[in-house]
Amino acid sequence: MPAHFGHLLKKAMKTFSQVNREKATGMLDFELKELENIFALLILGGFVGLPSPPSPIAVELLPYMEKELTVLLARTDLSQDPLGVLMGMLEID
Amino acid sequence: MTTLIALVALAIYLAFYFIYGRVIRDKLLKSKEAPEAPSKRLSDGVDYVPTSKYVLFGHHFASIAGAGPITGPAMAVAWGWLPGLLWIWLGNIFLGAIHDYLALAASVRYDGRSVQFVAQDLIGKKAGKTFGWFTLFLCILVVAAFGDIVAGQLAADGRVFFAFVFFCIAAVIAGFAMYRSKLGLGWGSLIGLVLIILAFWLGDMLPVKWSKDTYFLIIFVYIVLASTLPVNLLLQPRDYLSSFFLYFGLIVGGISALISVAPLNSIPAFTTFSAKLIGPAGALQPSPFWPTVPLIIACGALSGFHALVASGTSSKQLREEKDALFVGYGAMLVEGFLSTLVIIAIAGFGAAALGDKLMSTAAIPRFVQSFAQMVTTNLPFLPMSFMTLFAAVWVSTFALTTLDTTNRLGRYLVQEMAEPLKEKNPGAFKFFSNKWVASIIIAFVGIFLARSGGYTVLWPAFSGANQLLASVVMLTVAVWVKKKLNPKYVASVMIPAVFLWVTVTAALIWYEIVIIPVFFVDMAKTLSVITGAVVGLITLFMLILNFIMISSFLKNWKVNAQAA
Repeated sequence: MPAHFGHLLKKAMKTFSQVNREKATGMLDFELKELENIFALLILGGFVGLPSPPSPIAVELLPYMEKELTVLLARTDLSQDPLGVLMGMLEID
Repeated sequence: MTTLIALVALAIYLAFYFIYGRVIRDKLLKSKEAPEAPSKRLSDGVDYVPTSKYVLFGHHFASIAGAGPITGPAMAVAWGWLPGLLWIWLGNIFLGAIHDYLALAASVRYDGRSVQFVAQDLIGKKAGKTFGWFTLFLCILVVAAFGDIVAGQLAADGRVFFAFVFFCIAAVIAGFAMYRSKLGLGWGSLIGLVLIILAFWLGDMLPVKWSKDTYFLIIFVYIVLASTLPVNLLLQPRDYLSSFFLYFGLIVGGISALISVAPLNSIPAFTTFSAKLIGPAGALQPSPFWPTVPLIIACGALSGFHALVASGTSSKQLREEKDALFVGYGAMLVEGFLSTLVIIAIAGFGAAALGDKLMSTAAIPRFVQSFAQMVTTNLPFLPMSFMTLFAAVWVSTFALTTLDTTNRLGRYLVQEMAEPLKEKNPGAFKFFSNKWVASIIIAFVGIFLARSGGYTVLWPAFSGANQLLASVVMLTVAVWVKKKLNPKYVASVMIPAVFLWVTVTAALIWYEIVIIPVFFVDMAKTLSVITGAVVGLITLFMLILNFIMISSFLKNWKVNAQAA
């Protein structure tokens, strides 16, 4: 029983710590995401009509951009809907 | 008695969580058979990340519990402690928690998109646009209502101002330690906590006695600066550190309420159906409990903001849809418990703290003194002077956080809404999209209204806008249930949705007819007339949008019925 309680307490503290860690960095994460968006646009902007970097560079970078491509597609989908993200992050109530 | 009320609240919330909440989850949503959650299906390690429900609960609760669930109940005791308490309990379990839960679940089924998107898809583009406008008005009214509340609290207790200033400095130093030094989050947090204690001590040592007008000016400058500064400098570490106030306040308040045996005799259980509650200072009008209660108690029972919070980040991170019950429904119930504590503190300890002046004291100082008295009586190792300072800084910090984050959001909205001007009028677009200009516009209108209106007028306007947003969400969710889920259970959403819509619409019409004309009694008072005109127009515009929205809803509902 005490071991079970100790385990439970440890788990609760771990959760508390994770909540705090994420709370302490949520807004910075958001800014990082914005920077990633800009980076993805600079590299993959050709898809949306922005001038691309020279093709050899773009092709060379492409294999490293797999994750960015996935994120870009998700972001394209969510870009028309920014209110929810902001409200989830800014503490208004 | 306080123990009994706290236990009854816990029993009701737990019973409804396990019975009603589970029925909604298993019969209405059928979450166990739901498709895989977007956090797994669309997992990208960035936006969509499967997260433990306990962690999400922590995030969600911290985002929804601010100064709102404290302010409304502290005002509502004018009707007596029982009507407010009943609205908090019943409103919470049948409206607020269902609203938050279903908004979160709908967002999960829509791949994590916001409830605004869901409304646009189910009710039409007008509903989506209505959301944008409601939110912009809400931002202005939040700045106005909270601006007055904070200025009043700062003027009432001279220790709070420097305690808050040093708290902000503590946040900047802690932020530096956390993000820019090798100390990391743990040591940074510890430094922050030590500095908070120091901030309290310094605030106590350096009391100032400035007028409310001076504080309005200070708040104006603060929110413009704080909402335009880089987030990592002040906003992020301050929000992080302020969450410790919430934990501490809830823990000591909860323990005190549960172990106390004090009777709830500071105020009667019921005073009158039409207590003088809403109106300009000095001209409060008799406000009938129905329909005006949602204009007073917002966040503790129901809040439209929560739907936006729920569908922002939480829905993208829910590991499984069934976790939405714990995160959405559960967090709202805990917020209801916070509001219950506010009523218990005032009804049980208000007289001991403030004597005959209890009901003539403004809502926030009323809560601050009563809460401190409750904690000190039951946990005597926490002295009264510390607890009053703590409670005042707690509420003021939350209100100030709300102020500058709202101003930041309002700034984004002004910039966004200026977009159509880009080609038609590039000069005007450049002007409105400037972050300082956009920020000053919201702050100026908000603080102007706060100075000339007062929270007894502005809080109900803000609360009404908030509840109107909630009713739009409830109607959206009703269409969702009917169209995409189980029409058999549509009544469980439709009945509260219609009740809420009728109540809030009636309340806002009452506000427009009874409260706004009071500003025009003496036309020589220019500021009062301008305030009445601005608040009246905002409320009127929201009512028009509300009726446009409801006509779209009815059209959609009819089409669906025919299709079915």
